[in-house]
Amino acid sequence: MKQLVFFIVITVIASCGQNEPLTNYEPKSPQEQALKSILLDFQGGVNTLDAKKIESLIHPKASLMTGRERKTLSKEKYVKILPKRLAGNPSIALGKPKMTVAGDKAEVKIYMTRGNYNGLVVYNMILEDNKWYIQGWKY
Amino acid sequence: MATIITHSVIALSSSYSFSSGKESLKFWILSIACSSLPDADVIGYRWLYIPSYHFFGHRGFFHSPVFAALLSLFIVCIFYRKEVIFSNQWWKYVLYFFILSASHGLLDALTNGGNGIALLSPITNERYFFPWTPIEVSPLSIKAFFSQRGFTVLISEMIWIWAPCLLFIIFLELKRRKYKYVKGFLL
Repeated sequence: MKQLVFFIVITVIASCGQNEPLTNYEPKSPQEQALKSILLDFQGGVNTLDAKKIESLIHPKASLMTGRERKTLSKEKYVKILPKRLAGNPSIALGKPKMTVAGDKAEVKIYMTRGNYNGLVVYNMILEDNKWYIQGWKY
Repeated sequence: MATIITHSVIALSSSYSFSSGKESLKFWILSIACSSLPDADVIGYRWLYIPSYHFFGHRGFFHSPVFAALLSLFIVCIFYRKEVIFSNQWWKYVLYFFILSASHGLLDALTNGGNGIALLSPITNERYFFPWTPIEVSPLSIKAFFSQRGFTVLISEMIWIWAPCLLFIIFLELKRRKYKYVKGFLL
């Protein structure tokens, strides 16, 4: 009986996630508002298979994790495989983020749902010429 | 990760080999809990914004042999207080629960996806896989588990883990019966 209760508890915990969408997030500062906009643009770019839009959000010196094998690629290499990856993957939904802004750098932890996958992605952002860019992501 | 069901299968087969037939229900429950507990770090990943590559992230410190040692000592000190510390039986329990708990990380290192396992944590947070990774990695999401993907994972685990465990139990049972027979014959 106790094993069953343990299994049910773990099952319930594991099935819950951060389901609140990014659109519902109330930014606490103008910087957070800008970061939210980038993430919404990113989500839109992925879901409309718009590789150019995504490319414009990424900093030239970015390092981006990709694939199940978690390889880190430069922007140059990533944009080459991006159209194929967009075509091969289902749409994404970003959840409620947790943002930490320190000067011209920021870290955004956010839950991403893609098909049956739901996982935490950490975006590193950088402010350059009054514009925020994605400097990298890891998961 | 391997599924919680498979970690429980490991626990049950190990319990069977360790048990003298006089072990209480507590022993069996602790065995299952011990082999499954490292995956409690999923709570941090799913709820507390702890990324998997963090020290306390999924497959991090809680999957290491050091944590397994701490957990086994904790379990024996709390649940087997009647055993004399450092006695043979006390060490048997510590070693048994250590092996069960450490088996979790080792088994996960045989899976073919996700982050590697921080087997040398807390010395280093570097993640490792074994060179041979035949087991399909289980999805963290329950929704994904109850899909074709979950079915594939279970089949893979049945082949690579459940079947060897079953063979191990059959082997032990035959050995025990033979021993009883020989003992009965001699006496």
